[in-house]
Amino acid sequence: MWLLEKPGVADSFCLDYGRELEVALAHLCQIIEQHPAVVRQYPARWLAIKLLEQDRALQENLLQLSGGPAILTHAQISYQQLSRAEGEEVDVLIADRRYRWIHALVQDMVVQEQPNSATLSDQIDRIVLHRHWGVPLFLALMWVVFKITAETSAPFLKWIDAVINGPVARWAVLALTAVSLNNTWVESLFVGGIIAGVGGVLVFVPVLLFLYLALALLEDSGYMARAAFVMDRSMSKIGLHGKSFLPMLVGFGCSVPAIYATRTLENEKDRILTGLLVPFMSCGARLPVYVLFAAIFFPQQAGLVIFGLYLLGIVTAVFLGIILRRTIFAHKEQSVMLMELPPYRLPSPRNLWLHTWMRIRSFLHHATTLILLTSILIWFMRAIPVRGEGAFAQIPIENSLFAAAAQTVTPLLEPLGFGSWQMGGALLTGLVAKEVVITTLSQAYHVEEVTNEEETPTLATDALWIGESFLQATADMLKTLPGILGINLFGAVSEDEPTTLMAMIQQDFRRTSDGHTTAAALGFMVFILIYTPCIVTIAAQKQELGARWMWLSIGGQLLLAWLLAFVVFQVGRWLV
Amino acid sequence: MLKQILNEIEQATEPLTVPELSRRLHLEPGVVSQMVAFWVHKGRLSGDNIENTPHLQHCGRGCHGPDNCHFVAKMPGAYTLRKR
Repeated sequence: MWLLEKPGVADSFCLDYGRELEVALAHLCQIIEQHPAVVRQYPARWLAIKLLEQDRALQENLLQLSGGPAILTHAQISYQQLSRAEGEEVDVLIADRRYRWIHALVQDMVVQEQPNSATLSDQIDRIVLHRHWGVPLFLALMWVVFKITAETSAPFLKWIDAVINGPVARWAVLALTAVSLNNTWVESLFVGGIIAGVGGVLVFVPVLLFLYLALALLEDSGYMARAAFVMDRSMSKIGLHGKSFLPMLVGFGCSVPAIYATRTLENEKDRILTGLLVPFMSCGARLPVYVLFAAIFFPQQAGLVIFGLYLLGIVTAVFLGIILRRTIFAHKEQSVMLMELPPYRLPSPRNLWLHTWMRIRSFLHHATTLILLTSILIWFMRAIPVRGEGAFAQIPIENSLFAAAAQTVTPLLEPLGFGSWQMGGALLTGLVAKEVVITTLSQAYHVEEVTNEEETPTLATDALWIGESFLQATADMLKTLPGILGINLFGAVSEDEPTTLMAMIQQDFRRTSDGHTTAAALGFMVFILIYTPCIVTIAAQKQELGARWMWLSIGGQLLLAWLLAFVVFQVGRWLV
Repeated sequence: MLKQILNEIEQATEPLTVPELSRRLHLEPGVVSQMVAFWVHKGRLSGDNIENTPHLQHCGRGCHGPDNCHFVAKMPGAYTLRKR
């Protein structure tokens, strides 16, 4: 720019657009200069260039000036002649000339101390984007993410569970006692319905916090774009459209925006196919279910099991995609994808926290709306008697409307090893939102806690205990960090006692699977992974793909979930 | 120069990155990005950045609105050739 600021340089500067364009420009300038009204408004050469670039706003302004329409006619003729002769639109020719000039100027004026030297990003990309090691590196990183998430969040998970089922439940009873509503159905609704239901989901906030933090770290560092590229390259090789992976990547957070993101795919067949495959990308809402069952049945390999489920989801989506792409959704191959890669950067703690908090806040909003309403609905269904003796909210849960409704699907679940009405009810309500599976189990296995009144702590004692136990949970979390790398600094790790809910689920699975709890639990988790997503995702599929594909997706996922869970259980019971 | 971008994409047999393309054409990545943006504006490349997806519907999870979904942040720009 210093060159153009020198006296007289700017006036004489004139970019050479090549012989053909310059001839056309000179001709147009002659026409323009014949009309003083136009020349008073615009420099002739500048106007000629803008008209050949087909500037719409300028064309409209020119129509208002004397001589403008005539100039426009000549410009249009010049444009058509040039386009025919060069085989390209004139504005492309003009832009191309400008880029060539800029490139030549940069070559002359800019001296690179180390020409052609690879930047740090390039050097890292040689490994991250490696043809053979890119995908295994991505999978290894995701394994680390899930291992860290599962193990470091465990102490906080137990802490929140203890706080909700201890002090919070006690405070709720105290408040209800103050208004003489204790020992009524209102107390049961609050404690057994809302606190147990919503609280059962809030327990998993630490899990999601660590997961979203890890994902934010991978995104902000610039790695996630590379992950999308290496997966795209692999998918292209097996016939799937590379751009399909970008919406799928979004699906790891939530399926709903991932379904809408399929709009970026131009080809309708690719768009519908991707919309059908997105739900197999295990969303964040399923994670609390995985964590709970992994903690119960696979306490030492929780991270590995959860990683395996995510991997199974990807493999299932890819496998189905290959089959569908070569059958129902076959079409002519599209061109390859060009992807922008952001430079690697050190994420700022503030941005990391902001991105994590926004996603957690979304989860909390969900918990205090949809999950809260569902908890209340489930409680009412638990309270309404359909058989046996007992009044409203004073019946064994097995005699309730909820149990009766859940028992309709129990026969279908028996071959899968988890044929109890509690699991059936949880899977049914999981259609509302996957987190509600936890809510339902918390209520379905609800056990009345017997409290000795002489031992009831005061509010101050509770508050002190909450603070102390939080610090203890933090210390326990820090102790797990070296263990993730295989470094045991603190001796043998003592196994925590399972919560009442965990013990009840384990007992129930032992009964329904005839002792083959591991296989049944794995089958259940596979079912959760594959079966129909939440109603909001279904609504998104209906809007984006149409009702026909929505129903096909619902039926197909239910059938596939049943088949896979059946295979896992039936094969697993013989192996384990 | 501009047409080289389209030619490289048309002839490629596997996905490309902007840095790789800039290496092949001996251009700065920033210049290549600008030229890609030009072709997107001309409609010759489909410039489908998910962040710019119009009318992203609200899923009811309490974000500030349909265009502010926190789950679609950080998606890289991806482009494919549009047939003329």
